[in-house]
Amino acid sequence: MAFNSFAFFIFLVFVYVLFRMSPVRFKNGILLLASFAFCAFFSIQAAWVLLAVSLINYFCGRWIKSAREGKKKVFLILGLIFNVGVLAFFKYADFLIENLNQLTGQNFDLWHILLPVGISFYIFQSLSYLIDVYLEKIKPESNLVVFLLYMMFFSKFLQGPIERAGQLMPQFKKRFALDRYQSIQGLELFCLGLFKKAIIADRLAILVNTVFDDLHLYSGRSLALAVYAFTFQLYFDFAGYTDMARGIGKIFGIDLSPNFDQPFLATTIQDFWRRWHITFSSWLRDYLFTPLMAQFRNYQTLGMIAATLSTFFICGLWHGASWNFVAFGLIHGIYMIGSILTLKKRDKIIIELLSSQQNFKSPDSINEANGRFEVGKEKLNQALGISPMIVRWVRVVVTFHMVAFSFIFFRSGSLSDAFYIVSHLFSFAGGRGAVEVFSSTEILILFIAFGLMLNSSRTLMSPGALVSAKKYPRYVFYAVVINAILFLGVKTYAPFIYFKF
Amino acid sequence: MAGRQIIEELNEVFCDVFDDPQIKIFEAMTAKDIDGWDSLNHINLIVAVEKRFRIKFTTKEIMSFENVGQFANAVESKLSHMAQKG
Repeated sequence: MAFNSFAFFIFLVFVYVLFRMSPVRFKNGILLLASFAFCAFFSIQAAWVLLAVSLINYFCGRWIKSAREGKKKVFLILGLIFNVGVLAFFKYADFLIENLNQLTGQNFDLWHILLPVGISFYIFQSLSYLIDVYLEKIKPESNLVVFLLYMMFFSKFLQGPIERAGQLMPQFKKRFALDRYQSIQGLELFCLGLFKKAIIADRLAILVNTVFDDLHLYSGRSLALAVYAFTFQLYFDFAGYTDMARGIGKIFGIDLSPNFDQPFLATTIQDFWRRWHITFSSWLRDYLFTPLMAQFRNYQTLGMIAATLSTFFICGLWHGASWNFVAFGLIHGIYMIGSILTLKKRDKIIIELLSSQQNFKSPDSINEANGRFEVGKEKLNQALGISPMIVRWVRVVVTFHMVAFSFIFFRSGSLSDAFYIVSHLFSFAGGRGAVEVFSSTEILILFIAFGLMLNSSRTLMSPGALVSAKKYPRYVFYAVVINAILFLGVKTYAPFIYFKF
Repeated sequence: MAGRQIIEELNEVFCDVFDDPQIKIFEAMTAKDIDGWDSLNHINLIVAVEKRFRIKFTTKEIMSFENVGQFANAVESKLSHMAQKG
């Protein structure tokens, strides 16, 4: 019962009516029951796993708090081992056995364990909860219903956003102040998400799947176009899902965290990870990269390389138990290390160039330019006759292509497929050309995707802006979105890409 | 908040690490208030402070600091602890 299915629509209306009609003291209970039922729709076993993991973490948080100083760490480590163990068992057991079989030449049977829905997302939430309790950033939650909602709330447990306890739990504790404005905002956000998913992502998926299913039939140009199309597909699929999740949250008076901030307009790889899957990347930064850097801090550059590679190795592996996802993570790790290592040198070159310019002879202005790097760059570009806007766009295009390249490994079924694409991207001989693969509708959708990417999500596509807009333009916009979903949307059900993670 | 001398010395370290002589630290200051205070520079700052004051932070402390006030207090308590040990 995904967000883009009819069954979910019925479920949502039913839960909403019940929620609105019930007295305040029952509202959390209704949300919790609805969340459990929602998970059980996918699989009752998955729902029990989710409940069991949540209960154990609830008690573990309290044990960490009440333990004596020396014992707190023991409970934290036990809690971390439990959570990582559960994830490893369900997600990585077969992957480990396969690799063990290959390495040793043995033939151990695979376990074929079904992956409980949403496990990668809610396990990350339990880990951050336990660490935050240990660090005394939050108090362990005493209200079991509130804690279970933090773990299980149905609009976010499937695919995130990966929420922090300090951000989400207080919202379930306050009295629900539902207003019409917020519900309309939520519905608008939900529709915009459906628009991104059904019209852009699912339509792009048709051509992406066509090419990726039979790579050997297509020319280099078609492969390249499929890679671009997948880059947009992935973004609109996941951003569409996130809008829908946040929209549902808003309908029930809950604010979930944003996950994207125009990621394809990033000017560097660091900037990209500040804008892409934000709740996941900030989790990795706070709970993995920072402690690793703290451990390795006396090894300088080597320490930074080890911490970055380890973080991105986990980042890749989190996406899926296969080597192509590990490669995806490591490629970003290498990008990041390259960027960090060259940043100071790039700064230095610019400062030297600046100091040779007439206007930048005084040490103060050099220092100022150093401290205010952006200003310095702008002045340098002006001196060289390059518009800062051009420099910015060159950086955006380069970053976008680095990301699109990494997504080859994300989409490919295996490492060998990925290498095939990389080695044939520039081969022009043979294979089906782009015109045979892409219909005019698909080309149009690519243009719309590109347009939406450039358009600030804070203006046209922002629900806040819509609610405050005048009545009639708003209705016209609704009509366009709803008609577009009805007539341009892909009707056959397609699961969200991040669902399988 | 921590003593004046510690704040002044800490301010110097901030200026060095973030390459900006204009920085004036205050208790409620967080990473959002300084350009370039990212996760990497956070560790550079820790290393620089450890060197300057000859102290050592634990990983737990490094992950816990939420503002400059907490950071300065931790420096002060470590220094007074060292002075007591003598």
